[in-house]
Amino acid sequence: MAGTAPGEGADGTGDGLRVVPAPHRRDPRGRAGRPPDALARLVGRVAKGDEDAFAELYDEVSGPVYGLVVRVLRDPAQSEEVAQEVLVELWRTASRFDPARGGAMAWAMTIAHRRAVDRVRSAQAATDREERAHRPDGPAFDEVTEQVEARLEAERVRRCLGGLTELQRESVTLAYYGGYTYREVAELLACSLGTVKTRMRDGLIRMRDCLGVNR
Amino acid sequence: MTHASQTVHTLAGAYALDALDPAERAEFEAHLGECDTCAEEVRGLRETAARLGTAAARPAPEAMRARVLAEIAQTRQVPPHVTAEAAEERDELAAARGRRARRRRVGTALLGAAAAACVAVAAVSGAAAYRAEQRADRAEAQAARLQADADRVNGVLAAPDARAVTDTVTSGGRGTVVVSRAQGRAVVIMSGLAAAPAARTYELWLMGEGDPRPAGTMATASAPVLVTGVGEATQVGITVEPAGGSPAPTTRPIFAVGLPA
Repeated sequence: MAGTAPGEGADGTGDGLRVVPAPHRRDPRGRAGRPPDALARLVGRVAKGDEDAFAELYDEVSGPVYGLVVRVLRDPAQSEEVAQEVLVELWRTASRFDPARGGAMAWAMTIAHRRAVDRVRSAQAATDREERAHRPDGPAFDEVTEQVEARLEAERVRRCLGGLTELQRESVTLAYYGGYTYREVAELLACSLGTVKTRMRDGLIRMRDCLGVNR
Repeated sequence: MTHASQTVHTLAGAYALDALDPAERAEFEAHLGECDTCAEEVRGLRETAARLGTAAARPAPEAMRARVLAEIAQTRQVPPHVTAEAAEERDELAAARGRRARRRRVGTALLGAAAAACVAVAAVSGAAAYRAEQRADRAEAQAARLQADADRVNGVLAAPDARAVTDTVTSGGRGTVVVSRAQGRAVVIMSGLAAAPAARTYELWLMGEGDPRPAGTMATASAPVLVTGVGEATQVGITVEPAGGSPAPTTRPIFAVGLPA
């Protein structure tokens, strides 16, 4: 498809997106685990059926995958089931990982988040009836997160979240950690759909600049 | 395009957060296929969202490691995407007979376009693959049929000229139509559409010059519907008709969307 639709600028970003400066640029490699390109190479080996490489990959990503899934689903038993599915999915689809389209950790987290969210949405009717009693993301979180680097990363993300407006922060976290659609978020925040869409995007852009995410 | 292209662009954040419903995700991914800058932005926002994920890391249960390693030892990996070679793919499909119904791979720019449809198709194909593995021969014929449907749907979504348009349904929900003029086919993906009333069905119509042409019926809104023979049609519409469908619409459309030229 040549060109873009009428009314869109050639750069597609015409409407004043990048107003936020990047005050706290960080080395993206400062987070836990091995450098991103080493992780990508590991996935490359996994794609060729290397089970040892997968075991190494497991050790790198199982914590982030499990933690994210628990954060979204809350129920530990269900989370373990979903996290296990995600990790097997990483093995199964390793050949589809394309380093040109993003980092290996982001690839794993994207799959994990989608799975968790799919589970939330497919089980919506059932979970609506249940009380969301389990709240493992309380103080216990900091106790179990032993790795110093993981803690630093969490701290960094928390600080960057703190730099968002309240509406941006709520929109981003309700969607990502809460697994809500933006329509549901709009309902929860009593905002218009357009406002929530914009806040999600602006919030993520501000986070991106604060975290110094490679683009 | 219609209103889609003016509004779709703002969805990048919601998309990176997996906060879109299936039809909007389809619309947005179709847009991504045409807009490199948007794809680039999404890449950055995705990486950012992933950092929110890694910040929530916590040690996985000890016992999970052994279970996962045992499971992957007996899980077949999917092959990489390859550039479409129809003959080769047919050979592969033939080779897979009796073992596994495989999802045909589409390695084009619009890969993943209209994800709602892809997800639904993947569910169909995945279910087919699973059944075929479990009960090889009995499931095979059905798997092959589902496979063929999935391939045709994927063919439209992956078409270089595929365009997506989205609109709301008057009775609630949204619909996205992805059309390939070159193939003369379209895929209709509905979300949030209620099941048809008793003894009624949803009927699709191709509209343009002359009378509306029937383009198939659907009982539920859950799966993507393939529409063939699009020809010069300028609109796709949906009406509620008596079960079995009607030769001409008998009610007002609950959904109508203009097709890109």
